[in-house]
Amino acid sequence: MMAEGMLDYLIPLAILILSPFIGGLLIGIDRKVTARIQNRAGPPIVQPFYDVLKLFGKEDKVVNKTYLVFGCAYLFTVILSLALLLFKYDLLITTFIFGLSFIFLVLAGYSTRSQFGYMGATRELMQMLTYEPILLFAVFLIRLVTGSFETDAIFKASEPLLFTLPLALLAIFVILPIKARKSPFDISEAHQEIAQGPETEYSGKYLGLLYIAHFFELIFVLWFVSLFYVKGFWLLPGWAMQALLMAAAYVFLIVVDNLTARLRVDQMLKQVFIVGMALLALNLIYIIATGRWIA
Amino acid sequence: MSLTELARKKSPWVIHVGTGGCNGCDIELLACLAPRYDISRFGVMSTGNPKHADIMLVVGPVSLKYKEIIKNLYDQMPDPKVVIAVGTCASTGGIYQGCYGHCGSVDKVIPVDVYVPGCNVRPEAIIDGLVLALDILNEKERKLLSEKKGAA
Ligand code: SF4
Repeated sequence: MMAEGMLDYLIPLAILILSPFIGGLLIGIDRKVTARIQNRAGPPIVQPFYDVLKLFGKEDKVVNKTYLVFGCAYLFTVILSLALLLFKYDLLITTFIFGLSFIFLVLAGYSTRSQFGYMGATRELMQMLTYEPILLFAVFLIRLVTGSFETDAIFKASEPLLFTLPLALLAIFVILPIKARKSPFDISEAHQEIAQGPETEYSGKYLGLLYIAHFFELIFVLWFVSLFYVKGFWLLPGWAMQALLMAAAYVFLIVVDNLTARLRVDQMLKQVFIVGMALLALNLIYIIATGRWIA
Repeated sequence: MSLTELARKKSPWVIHVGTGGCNGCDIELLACLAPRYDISRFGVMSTGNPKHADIMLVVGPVSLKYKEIIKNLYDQMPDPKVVIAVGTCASTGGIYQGCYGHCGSVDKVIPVDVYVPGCNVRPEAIIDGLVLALDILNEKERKLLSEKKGAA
């Protein structure tokens, strides 16, 4: 009994410590696959780690101190939200803290006082406006079918979320590229247009810290998606189904990234909001009609 | 070679600056990024942001209007940084030598580390120049560090 209780803490801790490495590798694989799709050789899979290491060996030109504070706050809130998610804390709080990390990035963009930073931060804010309501609505739907905001309740529910909330998962897939900063919604980064938006003024090791935050962010997003199937299926145990769902979301991200071009902010706002909300509303009707909701 | 130096060799980020040439070399430079020569397999990433860049690729002679801008760009790049002059124009002034609107080669404005001549340059030559620049990058950092130690 004691050992089981220990494992409940040790496994999430191990995942949390390993997640920057896994996230970096995933991004490396993404770059390689993208290159292969475009018939190029592409950089090696460990390229993101080379990038980060190099950035730590560079001089950092500091514009003002404020934006460094916000950059570090961004990193810490992302790590905090991932930790809360892994340790099965309150899902609502977790999503709020994850939203807070975006706010810190926006503030970092505004505090640099450069045009590119301003523009990137504004776009980042619009992206938040797009995905946050959909994410929160999805969390409320999860609350409706599991009866509690605790992530633990998802694991204890009689059916996996995928069976009760299939359309909510679809809506989360729609906002997935926004959270992973990938085309068609890489609007705030857009390095061809506005030189990476809020990250414009960062250089040296502070840029490296932001890169590490992105690694954590990717793992957070994939883990959130994987919560929709935490029960075993046939011979496969629960964690295998989770890993499969994460892999599916990741492949989806790469394919969509390569298939689409960048949209404008207003196009993103309209399309994603309408499609996502429609999906969620349909799902709400479905669970109310079939009586799967727990008040 | 320390881990940082290895990483520095493996991930050069370049900024591409066209200063008013005939566009011939620019196209060859872009050919390097395209599938056939794909320099991204060396970890090269093309950024538009001098604050993230390690290597500046300058194409064309510096026109008088561009003098201030290229100086500004160079100053914004964090150390260690390397400048590569791509093409005869950037190296010596080329066919624009003596023109009233140009101040000739790039090294009259900012220090240049690697010259890649040719009008227009072949992509292979640009890649050779890049590989040469990678060694200089580490050398420069070592020099900076020893200078810092000497000052302290
Ligand atoms: S070196 Fe030749 S091809 Fe290159 S920019 Fe100058 S004139 Fe054009």
